[in-house]
Amino acid sequence: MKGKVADHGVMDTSRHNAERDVGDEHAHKGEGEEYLESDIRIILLNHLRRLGLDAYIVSDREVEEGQHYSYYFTSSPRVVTSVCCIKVNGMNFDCINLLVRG
Amino acid sequence: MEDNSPNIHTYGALPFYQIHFVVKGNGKMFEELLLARTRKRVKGVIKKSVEDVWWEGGKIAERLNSDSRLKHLLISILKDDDDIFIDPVENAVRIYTRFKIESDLTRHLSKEAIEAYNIIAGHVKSIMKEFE
Repeated sequence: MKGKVADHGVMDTSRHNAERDVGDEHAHKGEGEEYLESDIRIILLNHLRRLGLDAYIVSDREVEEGQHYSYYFTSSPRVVTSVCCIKVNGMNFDCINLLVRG
Repeated sequence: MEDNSPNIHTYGALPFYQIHFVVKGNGKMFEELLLARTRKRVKGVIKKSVEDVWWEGGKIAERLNSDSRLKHLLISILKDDDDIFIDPVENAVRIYTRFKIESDLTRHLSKEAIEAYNIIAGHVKSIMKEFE
């Protein structure tokens, strides 16, 4: 029952205090903090590195600001924004360009 | 823990991402040779399986169709994914599939998928070199 309540946004304060105490101990040592990565560039980069690829973010104006679609395919969107450009060593393609719709 | 990040998730209006594998070069010059896309024959509705995959388009389609390793990879990749497009633009040739939400972006980008895109990019480069 307690678990169900916590799922709906009401905090289980006893458990929270215990976690905070442990967290304070780690904070003094400067380690043990965990957080969810929300930057899509870092998420993609970490994923590529986990696959064993030598990948890193580069700035490539030619790729990022150039034409993205030829519009021969009807599914091509009109408005896209370039997020980043990732270079992967040892691959036939020159870079990976991440785009977001809108 | 308080979230003081300025990049707050906009739940309900999540962004859609697309990954482009870019091969630099004058794509417009080789437009007729390089413009291509996959087609697939799928069996089943709930438990889908890809029976066959083939390429349609310019000269590159013939070469990609004759690559047995690529075909084997595409049959497993395109089970969950949409078609792959080879799109030559003015300063590059872009290889991409459909837009995906954040969680699907990394889930579908497996080692096999990277290998397949690498093979396709290799064929694109060889055609660009050959007909230069």
